[in-house]
Amino acid sequence: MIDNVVGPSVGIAVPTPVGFGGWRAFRRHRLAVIALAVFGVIVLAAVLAPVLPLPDPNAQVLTDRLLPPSAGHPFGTDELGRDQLVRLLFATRISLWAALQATVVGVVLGVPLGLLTGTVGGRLDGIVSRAFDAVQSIPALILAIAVVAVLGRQLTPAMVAVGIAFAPTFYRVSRAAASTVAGETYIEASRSMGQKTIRIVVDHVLGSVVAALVVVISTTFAFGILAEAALSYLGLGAQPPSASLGSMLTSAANLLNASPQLTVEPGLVIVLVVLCVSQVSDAVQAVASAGDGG
Amino acid sequence: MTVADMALSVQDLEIALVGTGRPVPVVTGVSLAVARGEIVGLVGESGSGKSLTSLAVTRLLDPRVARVTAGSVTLYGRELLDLSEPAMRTVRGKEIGMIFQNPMTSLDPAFTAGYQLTSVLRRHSGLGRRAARVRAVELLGLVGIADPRRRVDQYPHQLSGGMRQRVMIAMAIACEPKVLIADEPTTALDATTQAQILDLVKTLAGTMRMATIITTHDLGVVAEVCDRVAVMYAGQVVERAGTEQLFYRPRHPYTERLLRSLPRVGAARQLAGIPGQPPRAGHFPVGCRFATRCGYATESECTTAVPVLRQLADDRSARCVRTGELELIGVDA
Repeated sequence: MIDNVVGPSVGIAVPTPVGFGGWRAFRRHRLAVIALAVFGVIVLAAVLAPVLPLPDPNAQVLTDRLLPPSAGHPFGTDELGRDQLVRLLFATRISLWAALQATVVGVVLGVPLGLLTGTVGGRLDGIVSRAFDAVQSIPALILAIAVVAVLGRQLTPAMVAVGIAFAPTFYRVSRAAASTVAGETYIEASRSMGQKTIRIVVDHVLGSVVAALVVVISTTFAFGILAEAALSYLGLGAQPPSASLGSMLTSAANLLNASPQLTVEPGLVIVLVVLCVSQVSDAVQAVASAGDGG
Repeated sequence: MTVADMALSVQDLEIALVGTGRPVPVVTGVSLAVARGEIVGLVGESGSGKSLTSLAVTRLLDPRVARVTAGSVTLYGRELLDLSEPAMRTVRGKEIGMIFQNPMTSLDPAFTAGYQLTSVLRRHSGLGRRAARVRAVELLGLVGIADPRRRVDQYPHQLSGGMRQRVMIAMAIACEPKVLIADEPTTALDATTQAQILDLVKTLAGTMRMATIITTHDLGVVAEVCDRVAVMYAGQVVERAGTEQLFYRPRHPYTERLLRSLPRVGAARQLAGIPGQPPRAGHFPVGCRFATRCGYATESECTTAVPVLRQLADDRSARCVRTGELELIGVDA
């Protein structure tokens, strides 16, 4: 699993901008619409988990250990008699949150700087770009493991480290889009109408980079889920009694013979989330490169 | 008329290309003035410095490429070259409107015509979203776009080249600027559309009493809309005159050669070109910059002394030491 998580590798193709009619074009990709709906349900369930009338995910009922799926426990129970479905919901919540942290860190570090250097160019561009090249040479998980080694076993710092390793991709995509747009006549025209440079960048450059960003964000998010799973599988992420999808896999792996469904369920959730996200991202990319903005 | 009465006045403007090494002066001693409601043509071939001049007026030159090294640009007596960048931003769009050569690339394909138009309005006039939209529709109607209510919500790719240029014009005049600068406004358009756009610019300049500069390499454009003309060659203004005077009685040999190279309907003669190439920036000859290509140039006068833009009768001027002794031929009346 670790070998697979080297970071998102998105081809830096600057797409033509998507107009507000983009949604209509997106709807034609039926699989992506379904994926978006499924992803939405998963997110909603994960977000609402604490307020839903559910039993405590950490409540142990030692008489009900390793039960197979039944009406009372649709996904069965784990080795401490905890309801697997409820634990899965809370685990998904932690995993999504972790992936979001990594993505947000990547966006915050990469996008503004990319837009700036892409627009301004010159020496600043050279310096910042080389710095991001250097960051890119650090594998995400190695950096996360190093951070855990220093700060102790906590998920948030580890995911922030993953986010830092993801930042170069965001930087590259926004820089490429910005430098293309910065040379356009409409930027000069916009300046001739007294528009502020910052306003121009935000309006025109961000407007045209947004489609590319949606693609990178979703890909990165999927990688974030996988990175979290890998870290927690190694015991470096979520710590007991709370569970993430990765740590549920670890504890279930020892019980593969007794209760195989305990491994399959978190595994399926990971696959489902990542598949949904990449389906949506593919469709967005297709819509963006088709470029019928109207 | 004195300089202070002029809406826009450019005095001894000098622009140098910067880059690696020493700055290379490419535009030197450009002076021209435009009165309220007047259209002045800035004519010259590619590389003569006309676009640099128009960009310098709005201070849109990329400082990494070109800088103004001397001279002054005044808008109703107010020096623009000394303004701070924020102050200059309120001048651009509000007091000086600008139209660019290629309407295909001057509009952002990602936004509707209306969005781009209202953002200019909201920037300078403080109109609210609704009011700006109403004004945008009005402006699109004013620049002759049929069905402006529908067009306002369309993206640039849904508009024809002529319509896009009309949208650009609407953006340029949105805040009723005192000065309009049109940099080759019709070069990228086909002939029929060219005529319509020129007509529109002429009408708007008249009704809104804007001082207008049109840069072009097309003497036909000049003949059609301009009141006065400044001819540029190798980074200098070589002749200034009223349009009719310039066409019928040129006073600079370069102008004469330009007029002779115009195609005429029904004329059986071959088109006369100008031999040679214009000098490259940084390699301007010592004396008159046109001397090497000029049939009237003399060894003694033209290649040694730098000619000045001399004031002649009839409120016109020419940069030629021999202009008094030459009988130059214009187009036939």
